[in-house]
Parts: sequence; structure tokens; C-alpha cells
Amino acid sequence: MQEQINKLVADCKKQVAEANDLKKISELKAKFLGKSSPVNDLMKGLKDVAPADKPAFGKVINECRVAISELITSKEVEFKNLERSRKLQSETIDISLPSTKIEIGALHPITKVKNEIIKAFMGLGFNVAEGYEIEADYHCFQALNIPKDHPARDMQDTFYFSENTVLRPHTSPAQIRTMEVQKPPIKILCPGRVYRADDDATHSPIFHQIEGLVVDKNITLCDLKGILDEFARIMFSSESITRFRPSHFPFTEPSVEVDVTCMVCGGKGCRICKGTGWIEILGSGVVNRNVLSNCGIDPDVYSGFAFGMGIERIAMIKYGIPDIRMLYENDVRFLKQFR
Amino acid sequence: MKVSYNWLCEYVDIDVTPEILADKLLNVGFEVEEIIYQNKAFSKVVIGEITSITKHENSDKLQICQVNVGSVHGDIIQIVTAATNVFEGALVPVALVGADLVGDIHIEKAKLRGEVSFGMFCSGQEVGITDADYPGASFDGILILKDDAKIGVDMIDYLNLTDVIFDISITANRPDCQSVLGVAREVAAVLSKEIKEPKYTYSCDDSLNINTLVKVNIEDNTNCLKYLSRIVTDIKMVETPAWMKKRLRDSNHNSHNIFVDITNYVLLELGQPMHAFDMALVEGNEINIRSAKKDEVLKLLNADDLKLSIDTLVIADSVKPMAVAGIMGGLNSGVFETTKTVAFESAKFARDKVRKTSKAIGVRSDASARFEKGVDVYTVEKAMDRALHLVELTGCGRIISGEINLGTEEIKSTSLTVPVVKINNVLGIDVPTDTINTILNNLGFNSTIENGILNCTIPSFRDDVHDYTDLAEEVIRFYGYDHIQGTLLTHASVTNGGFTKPQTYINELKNRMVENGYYEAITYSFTSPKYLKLLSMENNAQKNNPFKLLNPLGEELSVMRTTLIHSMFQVMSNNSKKNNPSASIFEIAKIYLKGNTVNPDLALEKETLCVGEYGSKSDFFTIKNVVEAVFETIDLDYSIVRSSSEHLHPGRSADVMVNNEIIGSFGEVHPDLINEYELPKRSLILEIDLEPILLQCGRIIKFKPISKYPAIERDLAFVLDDQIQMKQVIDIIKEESSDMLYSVSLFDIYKGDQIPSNKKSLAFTCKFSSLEKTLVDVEIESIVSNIICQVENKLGGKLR
Repeated sequence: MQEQINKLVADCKKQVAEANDLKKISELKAKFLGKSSPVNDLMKGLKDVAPADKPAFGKVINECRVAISELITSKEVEFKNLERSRKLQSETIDISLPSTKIEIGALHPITKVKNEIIKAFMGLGFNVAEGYEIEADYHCFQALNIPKDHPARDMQDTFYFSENTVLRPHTSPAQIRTMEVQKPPIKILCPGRVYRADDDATHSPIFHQIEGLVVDKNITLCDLKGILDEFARIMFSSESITRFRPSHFPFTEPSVEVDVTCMVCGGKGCRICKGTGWIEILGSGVVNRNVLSNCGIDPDVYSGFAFGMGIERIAMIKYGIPDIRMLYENDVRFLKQFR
Repeated sequence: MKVSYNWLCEYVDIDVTPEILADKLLNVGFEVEEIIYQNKAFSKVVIGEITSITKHENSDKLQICQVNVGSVHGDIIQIVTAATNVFEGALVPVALVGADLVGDIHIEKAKLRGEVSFGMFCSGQEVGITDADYPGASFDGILILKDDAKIGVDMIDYLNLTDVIFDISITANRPDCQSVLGVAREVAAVLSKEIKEPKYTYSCDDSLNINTLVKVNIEDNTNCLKYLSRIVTDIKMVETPAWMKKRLRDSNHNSHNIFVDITNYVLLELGQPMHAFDMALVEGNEINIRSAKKDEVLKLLNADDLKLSIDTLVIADSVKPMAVAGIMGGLNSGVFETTKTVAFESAKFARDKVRKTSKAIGVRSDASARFEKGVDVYTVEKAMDRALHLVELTGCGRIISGEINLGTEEIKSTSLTVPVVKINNVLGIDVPTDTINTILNNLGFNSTIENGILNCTIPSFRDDVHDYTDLAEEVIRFYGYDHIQGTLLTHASVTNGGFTKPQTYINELKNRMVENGYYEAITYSFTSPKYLKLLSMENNAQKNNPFKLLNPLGEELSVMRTTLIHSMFQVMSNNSKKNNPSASIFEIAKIYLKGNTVNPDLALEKETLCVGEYGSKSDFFTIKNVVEAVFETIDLDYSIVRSSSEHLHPGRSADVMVNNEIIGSFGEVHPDLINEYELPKRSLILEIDLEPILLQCGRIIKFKPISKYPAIERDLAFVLDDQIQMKQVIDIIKEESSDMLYSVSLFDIYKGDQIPSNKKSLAFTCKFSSLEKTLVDVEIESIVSNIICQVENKLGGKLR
């Protein structure tokens, strides 16, 4: 009996070793472990064995079955693994093929820069006031201390609809309208379209400005400097600083032009900054007392500062755009670059 | 403005280089845009004498010259020339090998038909001079020098080209600095030096008085604020002194005669325009400052015939206009070689009057430029004295005693008393009292400070200074802006920044558009009125009546748009012409409509969304998705109905309705407009008025319970007439299933052999669920059979 079993196991071992695919293995499985297999026959024969010998016989037969089952299963796993890796191998793809595009669009570069500027100031407590584009002469000029005989009011600069209605040449009227209805503290940004009768590579008859206004008690020129330094750091780089130069605007006194460290060369001097290391980006100053009075704010109690910049200019420097008109052509090949 | 460094040195002891001075001027608000070195106009040009001339054997036009250029430069050199006005013994400017001339000309050794030439003879033009600088320099040929020219001397030295010219930009608030003296005052202050005023003294002939010779009358006191007149007689037209000619020349003024030159010189020196009339031509011996009469004509000094209008202010005698006030004199009364007696004018005319007139008549002059920026009455008087001093200095005439001084504006002498702390409060720093005092005194403010109170007198020529903020600017200009140290609103209230709800909505909508693959465009707000007709706006009274510019850059940019569609079509057309195979573009911008009830002169400015797209991926349903994106975050009911918009394809277009009003339309562009705008086939357009949406934005999100019980799905397919819309079926499904319906979606549309040709099959998946319990089949079957029944009754549809 033991001998018969040993032979059976050896026979199985030989045949399993010779098997070369899964099909053969499943045949062997049926042959050695199936209903009509020798092991099964042995099990069936167990009923004729003397009761005293049954446990020993049963043990031997079971060991035989386990041994055969292990032989077959391990070979089966081996083949399955082989087959799986062959299948995975066959499924190999060219990972250099182009990706499946979920194409997104892009904001216009002017909007992108505008949003960045607004973000820089919003954290400092500024709100956004937009105002009218078709504006009253009073709000565009007179309230801003630009009297009727000021050269800036000439027809060649400003678009008119009638003697008293114009296309705003700056976003300052939005400041006036805010001050007329809101009392200090005021901290606003006024972004938007502005219009001047100018059309060449660096001037567009329509362009975008963003102006800022702060009115409260005890506001000084140092506060203006601090806010603009902070803005330069957020907007350009942590190394950026600003420089004040005296200038003149009718609506501020004192008035300053503000330069920031050239963002192209970091202040070393390059073609963009004409070797100076500085880029002029802003006009600003302490709000003229007359402007506050015109809006019903007592200049002996409150003071403030205002600043303004052209968004196109910053976008052109930031992205290296050579001609302002490209910003208004809306060629998708251009727009795509600002994703 | 161009200012000579040497001229400045006459009024201030400048002890710094031009470069350092330019830097210092920048720091006090005067940007020197360019420093022009006269001695760098050309180089390596020396005086040579032509010792012999021989004919060139191989040329009829060329001559071979031997030229003595002095021992330093190699004694005799050979120059081949085509010039015809040279002769043996002539002294000429010689450009040596390596010389650079005006107009970017560089001289090298050259071989001309076999003969070597070691340089070139120069014309006046090639060394940048004209007759005004040197006699004969304007001649078109080689400049022949006078006998005083020494062989071998550099032409820079010979012509005395040692000056440095600053091109300074002067801000609008400083008309007093539109002159050499004005800039000199700032230079003196920046260098803490005394200003040496020019001389204003002269003596008069008391035997005659001006009042016996001329009468002056200002008729228009609003526009002529000051008028001074003085008379000089027994005129000798002496040669203008060389120093005066050179300064005029350096400032682009030609020399005419001594009287005209004196008025131009005073203009440059003090910034005050002056005029001189020939008294022999002043009829009736009277000068009237009045409005021109209709149809009066004046021939100007530049020889233009000018037809005057009643808006023009003129200087007239008893009969005729003689000058357009503040702009230009007439030929009929100007000073020429024959003039015997002159009436000088120094005046102040209103700046907007001069500006408007100058623009209206199209004539600009140095005088009008000064008047437009504004002159001060103090300088009006100083200029007259200075002109008369120059008359005496040059000996060109006898000054008659007495002056006529009319006009309502008087010289101001305003004093200011301010606590120093107010000045420092504007700046935010403590400038030392002594420093403030010194700065203001250097600027001529005559300042004293006692116990923290500043007392000063504003100089008469400083019309720009009114209060302590102006003084603060003067102080910080000279103290230096580098003293301003940044502070972050130390004393201000804390405020909370942020966007309003509508601003937030628009930002989010833009981002959603970008996520959906659209590019943002920005187009001009003004456009051509032709769009009104193209887009059939005639039936829309509000949109057909745009704001029109009085002074547009051109007809095509002359009206404020009442729709964004025209601009969007142009963007699409341009992209198509540039062979961009597809484009998906949006713009959110304002349209401008009449009918602002709060501010009737202003517009209703309405935020509007416009989308345009074309290309293989775009169809009616991609652009329909935009409408859904617009309403996604808004609690506002809207419906999409078939559109009758004339710019859209009638079968492939829809209107967006809110509260029974059309707020927008979208769909395929009408084929006629595809042709008109040269758009790609099947282009799509959408325009929606965002204003009703912005009123509703800022939705509050409320949680809705989710059913714990399983949902039951039923697929239903109906065969329907072609013209039935999907929405009609969905409406029935929703109505019949009431709150049991969780969702319904279309999963198939079929047309083909299995159903009649004028029919279609629509297949839906309906999901039913309840918040309270697990639904049982019986409940669902009842709903489904009601749906089937209603679809058949209302729409004639059969279950498939």
C-alpha cells in the first residue's frame, strides 16, 4: 500500500514536471484528484479496511492527496503567474504618445495682472469700486482739482460726448463717487477701462488702470511708501523696493512718481530699465485738500493718499509683450500663452 | 525744454559737473531727459589750408588737393574732392581719417579712381552749424573759413562748442521754470547758492512820455489780465551781439533783427513772451485788446492769411488787427530794418483762451506754449525791464519815459503762517526746523520759524504754492524722498477688504469659462455704427441709439457699443483669417445704453457676457452648456425657448428667459452674417445680459437630505413625432412622478428603419426614490403607467 502510494506520488511528480501548460495541469488535476483518480479509488477502498487499521490507512491516503494537490497547485500557480505576466507584457503601451487633452482656456493677460494687483491690496484691507466709464466732466476733472482751463482737458486727450459728459481718462472719478457717499475710513481700489485719444505701439485709445485711495485720520506720505513697498514685494519679488521721485498731479500734493526695482534684471540695469535698475510704474501722492473738500470730507480732520498705475504697462513688462495692440487682437495663439 | 549749462552759470556759481547737476535736478522733480554735449557733435575735424589743387587724371569731377593740417596731424595730407568751391589757399574744415560727423558719417581712408584720399572737406551742415553760428555755414558746399582760422586747430575749439545743453522735462505746475532763470532758481536752491538776478536797469529820456504817443485799451478784461506797453524810439538796427545770437541759436531761434532778437531772448531767459510793434504802422496811435470782428483777416509773421472769428482775441489799432493775442504777430505791424519807433508788449493772457485759439487756428508758437502753461504778472513786469535793459546795453534805441500798465491782476505777495508740525504730519517724518527754514529760504520764501510757527512769503512767481501741503512738497523735494520710511498705516482704522457679491460672481464665472476651455478676450468699447444695421438693431429702440463720440479717432471707433456681438464676430473672423482652426472665446464687458434715470447724462452700463466659438468641437450644445454654467450657482429660474433673433439661424437658436423676459440669445450664426463677417461655417454666438443675474447672485447653500433607501431604475423609450421636443417629455415625467423622481436623463435618440420616417425614439432612464421608505414595484408601476398614458395623450407618443 505504502509502496503503491509512493509510486503514485512519484508518477504525479514526474507528470507535473513534464506538463507545459495550464491545460495539461487541469488534466492532471482531474486525473490524480478527480472522481475516478487513484487517490479517490484508495479512499473508496478504505471502507473495506479493518476498523483498527482505518486511522493509519486514512492518514496515509490523506497525506498522499495533500502531497499530490500541493504538487499540482504549485505548478498551477507557476503557470498562472507566467500567463499573467505574459498578458501584462502584451498590454504594454507607448508612454510617449500624447496625453488625452481636457483643454482649459485662459484669462486675458490684462485680467490676470489686474487680479494679481487686487489680490496684493485686498489683504491690506482694500475693497473694489468700479464706477462709470461714461462720466460727468465734474467727476473726471473739476472735483479732482483740474479746472476748466487745465491743459490736460484738451480735446486731443479726452473723448467727449457733450460739454459735460466724457469717457473717463482715468479711474479717479470712481474715487470721487466713493468719497461722495462713504465717509472715512476709506480703502478702495478702482480698476477698469479708461480712454485717451492716443494710438501707437505703446498707447492704446482704450487701456486699463487701477487706482487706489486711502482716506482716514493721520495718513502720511510714509504710509503711502509702506503700502507701495508691500505691494512691490507681493507683486514682483521679495527683494523689490520702491523709489519716490517728485512729480506733479493736480489731485495730489505732494505728488510723486514711483519706481520699482526692475523686475527683469532685479535692479542691476538692463535694456528694459534703460540701465537704471528702476521701472516707473506708478503716479501717486497725498490727496489734495481741495479734492477732499469737494467730496464733503474735512481736510483738517482727514488726510489720504492715492496712487494709480496702467495695467497694460505692467503686463507688457511682466510678460515681455512688445506692442500694446497685441493685447487687443485676441488671437487665440496669443491668448493660449497665458494659461 | 532745452537749457544751456553755460547760461545757467551766469546766474549761479555752479561747482558741480553737468552729470551731477542733472542727478540733483532729478531728485527735486526736474528730469533731465538728455544731456547734449556740443563738443561731441563731431570729432577729428581740424582746420586745414589747401596748398595745391591738381586735376584727377581719371575723372572730370574729382580734384586732388594737398592740404596742410598742421604738424600734429601729419602736415601735408592728400584729399580727393568733388567739391567745386575750393581753391588754393582756402582755409577749410578737414575731417581726418577716423573722424565722426553730424548725421552718423564716419571717415576712413578711401581710394577714388586710383588716388588715395586721407580725409574729407566739410560743409557747415556736416559739423552741425548754420549761418547763425558762422557766416557762410548754411551754404551747400565746403565751408570756407575766415582768415582768423589757424591751421591745425580743432574745429570744436575754433567754433567754441564748449556748452552742454540739458533737455529738461518741466511739470505742469511749474510754468515759472519754463525759462533759464526759472531753472537757475532751482539750481541755486539745490546747490545752496545765491541766485544772481539778471540786470533790469536802464535810463529813460524824460523829454517824451509814452502817454503822448500811444493809448492802450483792454476791452476784454477776462482774457487779458495784464498789459504793459513801453516805447523805444530813434532805432538803430545794430548787429545782434554774438553771445545773444549763440544763445538764440542753441535754443533753435534764428536771429532776425535786434528788436525781435531781444524779445526772443527775454522769452528764453525769463519765460515771458513779448512782442514789438512798429509804431509807424499802428494807425490812430492806439492799441486795443479786443475780440476780432467777423471776417477780419490778418497775415501772420509766418505769412499765413488768417481769417479771424469773434472768438479770437486780437491786439488791434484803430483800424485793423495787428496780432493774435499771445500767439503770433501780424506782418502788417512787425519790426523790420526800416522801423524807427517800437512799442514793446509784455502781457498776461488767459491760458485757456490762448490754448483754445491756438488749436482753433492751428498755429502754435513759443509764445502760445508759454501762455498755455501760464505766466505770472511779476514776470510780466520784469520782462519789460529786462528788454529795456538789453536795448540800452546794445545801444539800439532811446527809451521813452513812462509805461502803460493795465489789467485787473496785481502782483501777489501772500504770506503763510503755519505750525511746522502740520508740514511734518503730511510727510510722516520730523524734518528738523532749521532744515525746513533753510530749504524755504533757498527757494526765496523768506522764511522764519519761531516757537514751531513758520512764517513765510510766497515768491510772486510761484502761482503753484497755496498752503502748507505745497510747503511740505517743497521741503521734501529738497530734504530728499529717501528720508520717507515706509509705515503700514500706523494710525488708520482696520478695514476688511474683499469683493462684493457681483464682483465675486463675475470672477467665478470667468474662471468657470476658462475651466470649460474658453479664452477671455478684451475688445474696444467703441466701434463702428455700421453694426446697428448689420445686426438688425433697428427694432430695438434702446440698442439702436448708442452714445456717439464728438471727437472719435475715426468713424470705425465712433460709437459706444450696445452689444458685444459685433466685436466678437470680428475676433472670430480675425482668428479664422489667421488659420486658427478653432476658437472658443468669451468676453465679459459693459454695453452702454441710454436711459440712466439716476444720472440722465450718463449711461446704463450693463455687464454682459458674450461667447463666440467655431471649430470641430463646437456646436449648439457646447454653447448651450455656457448658459447652464451661468446659472449654475444662482437661485434663479430660467427657461430656454426657440429664438426669433435675426442674427441667429432660425432652427438652431434659442433665447434665455428670466421672469418672462428675454435676457439673452445663443445658437448658430445666421448664414447671411457668416458671409458678411467672413466667419467659419457653423459659427456659434451667445450674448447674455448679466444684470438680472448679478441682482440674484450670492446664493445661500442649504443642505438637502439624501435618501437612505435604494433607488429603483426604469428605462422608458417613446416613439414621437419629430417636432416634439425632449423637454416636453421630461416635463410630463416630472409632473407624473412628483417627489418620487430622483433623476431623469436621456440616454438615446434613435431614427431609422425600425420606426416610421417622420418619427424619432427618445429613451430615458428614470430613477425613483423616497426619503421615507424603500419603494415597492407597485408604486413605481403606477407612476410609469401614468407617464406612458400622459405621453400618449399629450404628445401622441407610443412606448417602444
